[in-house]
Amino acid sequence: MHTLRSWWALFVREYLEHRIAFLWFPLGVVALLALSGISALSLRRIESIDGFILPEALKVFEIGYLVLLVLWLAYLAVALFFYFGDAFSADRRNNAMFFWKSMPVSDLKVLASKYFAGSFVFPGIIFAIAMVTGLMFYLMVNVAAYVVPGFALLDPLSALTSFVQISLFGIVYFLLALLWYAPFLAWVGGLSTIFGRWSLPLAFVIPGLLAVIENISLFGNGPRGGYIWQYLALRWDFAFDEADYTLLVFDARPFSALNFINRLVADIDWPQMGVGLVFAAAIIWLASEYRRRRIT
Amino acid sequence: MTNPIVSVRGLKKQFGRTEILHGIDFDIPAGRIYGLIGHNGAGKTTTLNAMLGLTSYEGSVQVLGEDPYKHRARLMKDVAFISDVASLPRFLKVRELFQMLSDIHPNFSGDKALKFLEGTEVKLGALIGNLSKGMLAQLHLAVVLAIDAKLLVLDEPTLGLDITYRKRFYRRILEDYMTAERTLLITTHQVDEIEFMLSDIMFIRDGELLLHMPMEAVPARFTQLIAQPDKADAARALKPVFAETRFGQTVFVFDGADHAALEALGTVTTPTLSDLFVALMSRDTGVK
Repeated sequence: MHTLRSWWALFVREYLEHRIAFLWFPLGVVALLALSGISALSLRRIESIDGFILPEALKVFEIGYLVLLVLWLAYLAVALFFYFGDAFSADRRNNAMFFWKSMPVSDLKVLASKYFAGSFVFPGIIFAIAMVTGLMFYLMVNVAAYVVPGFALLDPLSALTSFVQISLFGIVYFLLALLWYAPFLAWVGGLSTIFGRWSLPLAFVIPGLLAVIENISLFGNGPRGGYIWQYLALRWDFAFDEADYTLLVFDARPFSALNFINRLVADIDWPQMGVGLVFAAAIIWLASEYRRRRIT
Repeated sequence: MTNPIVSVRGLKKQFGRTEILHGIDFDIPAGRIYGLIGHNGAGKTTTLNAMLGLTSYEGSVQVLGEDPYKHRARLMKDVAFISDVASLPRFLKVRELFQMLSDIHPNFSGDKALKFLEGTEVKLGALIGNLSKGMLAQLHLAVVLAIDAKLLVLDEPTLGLDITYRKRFYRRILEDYMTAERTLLITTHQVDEIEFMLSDIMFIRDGELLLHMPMEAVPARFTQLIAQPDKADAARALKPVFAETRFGQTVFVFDGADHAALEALGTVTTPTLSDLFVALMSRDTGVK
């Protein structure tokens, strides 16, 4: 029981330390979106879309919600990059190492809590906010139906179904993407344990240098760009290809989470996913061993 | 005899090629208040860090029967320490800190911490980063005193604090915390301020333990003599460990000398801790 409370406390600590990036700023964005939506409708600026051939209201809502999820995922990616580049060395920078070392929690547990907070807690918050913006967009589409001639009112049941389906797909996509990029996030965090915020450029510079050294060593006899570059390029791409994304947006049928989750699961290189997770776990352990030997 | 709380054998520590600790041995029994005293760079903090599992070492260190470097997290359930009062998480409010500690530390009591904060200016809603150094010290003290620990280690806990805070700090430890089951190990440069509370002293110099004894044994072993002007040479012949001239008087410190013989040469007293520190730790003993 106390172990659970201890994990909870460490997650809360991460939340309190980083709530500006993962709660207050996104809520500020939500407020701005709400304001711009209200102003667009109240000032009737939305009438300027008269000239466009609009798909039916449900599709507008689905595409809009998907775009919102993509934008929130992009925000999450940037925020997490900076989080991992900072959080793993924050105790050193804040002169708090002695305090945390006086607590009955291991360095591995502290770093693991940071990793799990970054990989699940903060994305969970961002996803919840993304869902709120989805609901806001639903309201906007409905109001727009009154303003724009020929734009049909959104059927609440269909909209709710689409909302649930897209949210479900979004959760799976967020989760699998975070697992796929886990080795990169752990790599940034691991470097941060040693180099602090310099980990942000070093996360790219170190593999870049290794790739250059490899190319120089092989005199260009390896594959194009070298083995390291090829592998990193493979790891950088996650699941869906262009055709999948096109279908995601332009499929005339109502959104089906199962359909796209199946495609997603089929497209993922699962052995590489496993290799990446083992790499991430190894990096976190090595970082914790480094931290165990540091007091400042 | 019960097992000691701390048992150290052959403790060595190297930084690069420099050996900081040269094989220290000591035991700390339960219920005692120890002062670990030495110059800057003598090895006090390194010794404490080894005991707290904060650094690797050669030799054997057992704290409450555990190897601190291997099992620091487990050990910290029963050991509390302050190494730097400015190390509390600055982004938390005091209330949030207490809640977090209640969840993380099985032996922390939020109610006790609140009680220890009574009479201070530290407010529950205050952001830790906004507290003054004195308030931080009070808060950190309240935190460690609210932990039901068997061993409390304080490494220069009052560094940079004014005399009022320092006195209050030590008084609270003595009045509100120390019981027969608890052991306190403290290092500080202000040895005069902790002398009244110590039960044992350890002097460390250049990585070696120079002295380790109970305070009550000090008067029987060490004597300070303010020699009459014409008796200084006679006193010097009794082989003092330290001699110096203060305001025209020659002051000697003897280790194991005959009190009766010394009384014939001047005024005999027991050296204070700071006198003893100066006498034993000075590289120039002044006796030649």
